[in-house]
Amino acid sequence: MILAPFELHRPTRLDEALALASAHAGDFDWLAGGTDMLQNYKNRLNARGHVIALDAIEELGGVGDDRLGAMTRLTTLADDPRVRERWPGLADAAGVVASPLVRNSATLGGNLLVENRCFWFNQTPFWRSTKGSCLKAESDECRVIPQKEICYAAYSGDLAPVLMVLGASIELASPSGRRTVALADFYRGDGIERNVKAADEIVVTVLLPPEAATLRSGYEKLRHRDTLDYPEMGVAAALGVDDGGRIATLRCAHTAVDTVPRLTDYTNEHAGRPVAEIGESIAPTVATDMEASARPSRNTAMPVGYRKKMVRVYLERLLRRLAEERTVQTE
Amino acid sequence: MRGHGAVNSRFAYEVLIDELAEKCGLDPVDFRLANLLPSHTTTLNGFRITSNGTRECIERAVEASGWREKRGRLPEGEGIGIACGFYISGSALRINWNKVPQSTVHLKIDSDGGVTVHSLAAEIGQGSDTMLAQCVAEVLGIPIDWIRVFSKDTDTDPIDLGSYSSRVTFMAGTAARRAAEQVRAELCEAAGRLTGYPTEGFDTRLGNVTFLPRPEVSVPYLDAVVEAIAGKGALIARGCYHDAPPMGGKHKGAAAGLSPSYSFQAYVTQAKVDLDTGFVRPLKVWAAHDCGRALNPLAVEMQIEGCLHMGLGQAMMESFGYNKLSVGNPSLLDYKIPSSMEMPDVDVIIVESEDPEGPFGAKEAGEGPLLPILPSLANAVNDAVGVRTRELPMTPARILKALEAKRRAADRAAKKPKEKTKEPVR
Repeated sequence: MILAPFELHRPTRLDEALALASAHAGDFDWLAGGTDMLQNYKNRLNARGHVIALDAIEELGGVGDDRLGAMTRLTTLADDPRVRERWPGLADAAGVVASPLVRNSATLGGNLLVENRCFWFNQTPFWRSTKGSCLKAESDECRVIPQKEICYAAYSGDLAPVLMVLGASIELASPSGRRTVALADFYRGDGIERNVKAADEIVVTVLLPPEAATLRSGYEKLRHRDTLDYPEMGVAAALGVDDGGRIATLRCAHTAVDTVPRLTDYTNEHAGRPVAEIGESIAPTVATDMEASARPSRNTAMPVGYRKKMVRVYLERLLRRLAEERTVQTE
Repeated sequence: MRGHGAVNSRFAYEVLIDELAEKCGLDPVDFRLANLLPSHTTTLNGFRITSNGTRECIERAVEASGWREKRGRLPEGEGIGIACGFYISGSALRINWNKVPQSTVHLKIDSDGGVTVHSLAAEIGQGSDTMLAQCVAEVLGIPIDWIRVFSKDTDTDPIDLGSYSSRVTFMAGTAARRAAEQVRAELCEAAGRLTGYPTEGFDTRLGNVTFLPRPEVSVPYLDAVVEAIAGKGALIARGCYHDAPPMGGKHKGAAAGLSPSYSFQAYVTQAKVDLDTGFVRPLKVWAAHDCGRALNPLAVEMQIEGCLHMGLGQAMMESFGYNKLSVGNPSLLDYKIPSSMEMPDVDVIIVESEDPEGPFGAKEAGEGPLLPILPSLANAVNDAVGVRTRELPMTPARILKALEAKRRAADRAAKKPKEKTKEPVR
């Protein structure tokens, strides 16, 4: 497959990038790692005439104590000891995205904004043409559930659920200024709407609250193979434990089983209970509740009922693992 | 496609044998050992079996894997299974009904002593060019780098029926050997003339043409070549594999699967099943394969590993479906094949049974090694969790469904009140 034609821009400053976005409003894409977007361009999926590459903009990089530049490569997230030490779940999740080769290019911001995926959407133009295409591409009708209103393409990022349970926010910049949005409020709508980011906005930084570095966190991913594949389902959890061995924070999220990643905060429900109770009663209760909130569609490789069921199995395992971990020590 | 036509039926057959052994209360290894055919026999459906290393394959795979210690003693969710297989070394019956030989090799030696081999056996990465050079080098007693193989050129190469049915080593190898033997006879004659010793005593050894009864009487290979071509030009020979001996019965379908010789396998697979997710993962495979004489042990090993990888794909995740008249999984992201992460450790055990008709005793190694991996994995899954697989691939969802059905049945059996004795309805 040959890439759809486009004009490539490579600004070195953020304001330059935003000016380009204004100049080409409605006909441009931001290009981070390109591992997913350029594949979609090859498949002629919503390709634009202008592509603004972000790799030369210094402000978008860097790993700090409470912030991660949007252009941080996934390999860095997976391997950097500072990330592993402060937010182990994030390192876990980054390490299971696609394959090592993809992770060398793919970025944090790109993964958060990865295009929703669907069996009917991520295909060649020829294949799509034999079905009359789909709502997210050229048609006005969805093929997953035939109707004209809602796109059921699955959100398929691995990092979002972990950053959500860690309480992260993202800083967005646009020609009209900057704003910060909690990741929990960022993802909205169906497989086409996806999130609250405006087209001319750009993710600059992911901000992590100080609490995040005190939490035990983890990510578990369902996929056919232990490499390459997008998540068929993924669960993340963060557990805060006080000095008395009692639950201070408990948040869970799932991904790839809906058009958006979904966070549920169980802190109020379970705060103050001994961590030892997680294995006995809390994990099954929470995992069953999260399973009930999963709404997978019949548009990935694995059966929909199986993916839903695995929310409970994987989350229960993850919670038990986190409960048994020793408290994270941070200076 | 590897092992076409044999893979699915072999899977069903080997799983059924496992079930039979279970019903008889026998270890599936013992059940198989008690029912083997010997070498040099004919099967019920008329296959002429020559060399047969199945027994050695089973015994060595069982020994290496620690089968006797592991069977029934592995931790929960782990199991061990065995399966056998066999495969043709080329089809005895031709695919084209004319008199052109199935394989032909042209060979030429000119005054520099270098050997040129022409063959249309298709080198597709499996090493058939190397195999042809090896066969010629072995006969002429010269280093392999004195031989140049020209293959895949339909302008200049003699007809060969192609790389299918695992036929190339057996048939093109035999053709190469026969061509080289004719040239060797001319070199021995030349050495006889140069030394005055009788031609019959000479043979080609280590770059010389040597009089075997008195090895000190020896002519360097190049001197023999110069003498042999004197006054007549290059040594040119042709060798072919024409037709296998007549075989097969008269019944309908008797022609299918006839081969001048068969490879045999026995695999022991240790696998782990995740009881909550249904994921099946092979941990280690002890893969014993009888390829007759292994002309190139490294290539045999690679073929076995490649077969395992492809077979595991069919066993664990590959399936080709349609979705409203279009291919259901049209890309390599949708059509799952195992990655290096899913490959188990493989302990390759090469069993050499010395086939009487293959070149230097060789048989096939390119397709047969795929057959046993599917059923041996399925039998290991049964040993691990007591679930029989009758449908492939063994996807997590499918295995989990079977596990849940089994649990439900066990629950029902446990809850069932004691049955009241009733008069049977007549």
